[in-house]
Amino acid sequence: MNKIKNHFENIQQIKYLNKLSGISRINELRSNGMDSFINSGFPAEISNSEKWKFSNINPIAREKFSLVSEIDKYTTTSLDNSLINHNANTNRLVFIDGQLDKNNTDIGSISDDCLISTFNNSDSKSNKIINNNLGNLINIENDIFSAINSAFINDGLLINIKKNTKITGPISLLFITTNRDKKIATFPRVLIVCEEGSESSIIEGHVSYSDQPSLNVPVVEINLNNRASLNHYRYMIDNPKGYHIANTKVSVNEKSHYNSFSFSTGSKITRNELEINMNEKYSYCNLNGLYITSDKNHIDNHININHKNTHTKSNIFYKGILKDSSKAVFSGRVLVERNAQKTQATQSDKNLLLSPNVRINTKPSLEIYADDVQCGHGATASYFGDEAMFYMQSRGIDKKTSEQLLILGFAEEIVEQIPSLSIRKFFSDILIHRSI
Amino acid sequence: MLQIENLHVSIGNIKILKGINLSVNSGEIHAIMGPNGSGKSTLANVIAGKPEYIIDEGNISFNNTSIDNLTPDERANLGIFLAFQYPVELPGIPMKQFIKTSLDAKLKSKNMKETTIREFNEILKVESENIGIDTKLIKRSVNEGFSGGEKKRNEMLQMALLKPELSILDETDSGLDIDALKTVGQSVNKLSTEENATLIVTHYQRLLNYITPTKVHVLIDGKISKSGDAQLAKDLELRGYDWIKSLT
Ligand SMILES: Nc1ncnc2c1ncn2[C@@H]1O[C@H](COP(=O)(O)OP(=O)(O)OP(=O)(O)O)[C@@H](O)[C@H]1O
Ligand SMILES: [Mg+2]
Repeated sequence: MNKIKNHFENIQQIKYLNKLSGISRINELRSNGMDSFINSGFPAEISNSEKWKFSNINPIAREKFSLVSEIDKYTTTSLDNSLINHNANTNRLVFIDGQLDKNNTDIGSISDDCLISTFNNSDSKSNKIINNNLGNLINIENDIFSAINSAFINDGLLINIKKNTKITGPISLLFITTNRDKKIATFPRVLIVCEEGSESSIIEGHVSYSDQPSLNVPVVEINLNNRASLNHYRYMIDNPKGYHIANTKVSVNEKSHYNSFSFSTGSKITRNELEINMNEKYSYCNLNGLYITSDKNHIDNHININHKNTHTKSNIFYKGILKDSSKAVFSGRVLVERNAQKTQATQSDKNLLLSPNVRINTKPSLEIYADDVQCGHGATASYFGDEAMFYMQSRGIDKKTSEQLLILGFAEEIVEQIPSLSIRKFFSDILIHRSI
Repeated sequence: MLQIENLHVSIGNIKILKGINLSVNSGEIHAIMGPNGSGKSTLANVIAGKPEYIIDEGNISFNNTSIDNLTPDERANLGIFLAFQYPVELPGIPMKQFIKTSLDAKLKSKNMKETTIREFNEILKVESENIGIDTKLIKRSVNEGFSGGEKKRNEMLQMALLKPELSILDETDSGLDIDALKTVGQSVNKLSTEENATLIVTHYQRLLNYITPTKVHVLIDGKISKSGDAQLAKDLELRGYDWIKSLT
């Protein structure tokens, strides 16, 4: 217990941790998570591992964070309202420092085709889904951040899309870290279960207004049953001191489609882990991502795709824009198991370097044990130096506009992959906002 | 229009230009010739405002005001255009967007209204045909994967659209086929009026078959060693730079 108190100062005062949840699976996960954390400790002690080779997370281990159990005096006026209200027709749930903010949450227009419930407010039907699914895709013993998140599960969220239904309009989740006089730690937990033949879109946003080194450790588990399809849009806009360590685990089953778009910017250290299990034949995933680093940011995208069955198909296409003295890491590992014949897998990571002081480690890799497959991968880094800037300026375009043109031009190839026009516009707006 | 007085320029600790005096008036076309490494591109870049060059002495003025402290975009919007010896590739930036942005920047600096997409498409079409740029190139990213000649034609296209007061062409004729050379000659002639001026950096007399320069200057080791009229270029072609060096 002392080990935990070294990292989280007010752990005793947090009431929910001393109270059993009404959902047995949650109690189990909390206790397993806590055990695992106590056994393996914070990543400082595991920083020599292959998995964390390019991302030094010792700074996180050195901080002392505070847990939060209530919404502080908080007014939405200080918020970038456009993030919350980007689409009036959107069903949205807003979490502030880990707690559901009822004032800004509006799921009034959600149909009966979809079940949305927080863990603290769930009925017996939801409890059953949570008991059957929560924690199935994570590995508490081997992944310390999934363990910490599990140890601190509080007001998590269940989204259950019912069989053969089509949800029009995205469900938007926004996780906000506010600016307080302490370093707060939040552990968002989301369980998404898409039943057979359902179609839906979910936007998951993480925004920090803190100027403290706050920590955000979300875990999102997604289970796509046969013929289900999900568009998962994710954005993270962190502050230059913030830490963001995210785990997204997806199980893709027969003929189901997982389509994801990820955008990350800000943060002192970010690690986005995305693990996709292509369990059944004809499963398909398409992962697009964009990261923009500046100042001394460090953003690490760590993707694992496991092809476990025949006729499965995956695409990874990420792009990075690196400014100032920032650093980015991309690691994409695609595993094709022995019996996963007729697999098709492509991956590519392209980077635009805007300063000579940036660093990029990009490592796409393929591990193939089947013989009848089509796989390809590639990575590039192109440097935009003073010469390009001078060329653009010599045409009358000022420095800021030149840089913006460069960034937007480079990002376009990724943004245009977003199928929904209104969501594409939403991300274009964020990009324009972040590139000036 | 362009007035350069006793210009000394260095990069790092290397002195490159060592006292250039040059005066270009409107209605004139000046040619600058000289051996490799003599400082021709440096002079062109310094006029356009390339940041890494340091002016140790002297000054540059344009229409009677000093431009030494202006950024490249400010100079461009005053009407100075540099066609690069090595045009830069800008992957991800579509040609159309780039050219429109630069055209609009210029209009905006003159408090004029930006062009509509339709107007822009129209003038772009006309000028691309004049310059002989394949419309397929217009759909690509700026200079990305363009051939050497295509890059040079692209510089001419931008010059034609921006209609600069002072055009500086840094070896735009190098690496061009005969047809393209003629196009460059025609573009320059079309733009030259009593209000404009052109500074052409070239190694060859052949471009000057299309364009008759008012003056020809020979740059050797960072200094103008000799100036003359169009005949000087022809003499140089026959006698080489050693002839000039032997004179000094
Ligand atoms: N960025 C730089 N760093 C170091 N030296 C430079 C730089 N730019 C130019 N120089 C040097 O300055 C001198 C003049 O170069 P410049 O490019 O102006 O020559 P030039 O007359 O245009 O030659 P060319 O006919 O080959 O194009 C050369 O010796 C060159 O190496
Ligand atoms: Mg040169």
